[in-house]
Amino acid sequence: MSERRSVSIRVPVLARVEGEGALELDVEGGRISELKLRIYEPPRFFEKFLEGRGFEEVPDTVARICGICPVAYQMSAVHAIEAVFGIDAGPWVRAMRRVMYCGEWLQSHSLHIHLLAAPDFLGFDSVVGMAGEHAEAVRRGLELQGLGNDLIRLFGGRSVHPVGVCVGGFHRAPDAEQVRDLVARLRAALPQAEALVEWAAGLPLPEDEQDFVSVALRHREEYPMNEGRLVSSDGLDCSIADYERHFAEEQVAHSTALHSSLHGRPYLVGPLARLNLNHDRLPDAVRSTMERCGLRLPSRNMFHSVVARAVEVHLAVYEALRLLERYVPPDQPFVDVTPHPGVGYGCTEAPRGLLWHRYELDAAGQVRAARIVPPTSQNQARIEQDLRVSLEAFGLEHDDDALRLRGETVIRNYDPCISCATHFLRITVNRP
Amino acid sequence: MSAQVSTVRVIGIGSPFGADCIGWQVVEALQDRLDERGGPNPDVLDVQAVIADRPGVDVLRLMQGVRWAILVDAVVARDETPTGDDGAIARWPRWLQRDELQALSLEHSSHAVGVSEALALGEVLGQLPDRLSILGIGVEPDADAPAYAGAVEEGVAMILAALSAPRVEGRSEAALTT
Repeated sequence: MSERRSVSIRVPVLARVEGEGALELDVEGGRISELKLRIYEPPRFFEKFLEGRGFEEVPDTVARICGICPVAYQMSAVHAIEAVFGIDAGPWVRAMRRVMYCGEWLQSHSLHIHLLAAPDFLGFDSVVGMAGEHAEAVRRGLELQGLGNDLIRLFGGRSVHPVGVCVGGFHRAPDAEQVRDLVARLRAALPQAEALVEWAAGLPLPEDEQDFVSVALRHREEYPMNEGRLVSSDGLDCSIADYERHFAEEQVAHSTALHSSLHGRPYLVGPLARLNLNHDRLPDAVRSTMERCGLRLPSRNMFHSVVARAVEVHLAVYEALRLLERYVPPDQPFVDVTPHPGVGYGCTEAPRGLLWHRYELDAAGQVRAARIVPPTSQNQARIEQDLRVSLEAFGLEHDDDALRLRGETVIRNYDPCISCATHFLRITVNRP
Repeated sequence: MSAQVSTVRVIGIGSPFGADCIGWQVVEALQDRLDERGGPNPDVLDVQAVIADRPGVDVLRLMQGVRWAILVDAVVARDETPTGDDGAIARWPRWLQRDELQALSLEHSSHAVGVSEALALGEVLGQLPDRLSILGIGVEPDADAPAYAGAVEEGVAMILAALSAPRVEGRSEAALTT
């Protein structure tokens, strides 16, 4: 019989996540009595900032919400506003938006896999230690991340808070010569991305089967990025306009992020949820690499998220190459826009999962109300649920350092973008 | 151009916010001086000035293919006092050693990877240029505060002096070439 000790673990600043969060864990009599993922980063009020601003300002304003996934914010916003105005931006804009989004998945996933997640699984404190023994993998990761940044830069002028996106399309079209250079690099990166999938699938991941609900977009033909219906693994299938009928957000005292639920239950968004629900939409080349590596879907092991990210890196390289290989500069990189009053919705797949926007605009195209639901707040209740199950399955008899590390590993596995900051951990243990 | 032209890349690191943009301002002012041919002999030294917005590990790519890179970045530091106590907030441009940068980098720095970590990674991967110089410019910790008057001019003058008399700022590379 293991010791029924009381444990109190306080992780005041979570390391290797994007944002300021903390973990509080209390164990009494061999059971978890209290578990909180505290997000204490100050509220940011972006929805209020947008009120009264013209629709033209929205893409550049929302890009400021996140330094890692600005493209996702821009994409959800422009789709929502175009829905209000009744605009179809046309096939060229549609394809190039997908390419730009591929750039963001590529850079965000590559960063997370190599710099934030893999050190956990390989037993290192940081990527610097890991690079000594896994130099080739880290170099490959940095190359893929850099390629993603350059794809974003191609359309956005810069990779952090890009500025090229507008309602109706892009302010300017990339030069054919720049595109040719990137096509060559994408072609060279394709085998690298395949090798990454094999490497990620070979990581010594914990076995931890759990019951959870996956939620993602689903498109009639392609792996979802900018469009689709909202679907879940327990049967939801609705338009993005009906999001508020099924999903609720509520405040909890310990967090400045809202907790989301689907029909009253936590749910998962992000790469593993997307892959669980959309693996039949992967291009053959991407799916066959994944299958060769032994990933069976749908997966109930949350730690397969890192493999799902690698598969999506492969997909992003493949898709960007496919779409840029036939690049032709357009006569005009945007369609003309006439403001129109109304309400519109945009929902796209940010690297970390669903990013849902709702805008109410007046006749001049000024924002009357905005609502933005980011992926990490949707995952927050799910992360807490996972922590309870994972830590009890791991064994609460483990010492505090081991419990803390497992807890951090579980949290980091979601790649939470609490909003942009953070590093390491301190721990306080109270024993009776 | 002769084959002996050696490339130096001067990289201003920062963001548009407050004094964090000082690295960009120095590099932009340096570019102006180079355009006026106020810099070193272009037949000998090809000086490329670039700015980077919070590059994280991308700083390694920015240094690729050059033998000498000069990083210019805002730092928050306190001057030492004879008693060893913390002194006033530093207001200087100074050539820094790598280990000094590590001590100066904020423990809670955002986005997981700062310049110091990126350079540590670059060292392990063997991706640093032969010669690396780091010019730190001491600024207020308050994100909204602008850099002190004269910071840009002092920073540009130090870089131009280093370009004209290479290896003067050797302290920083001594730490690297061990």
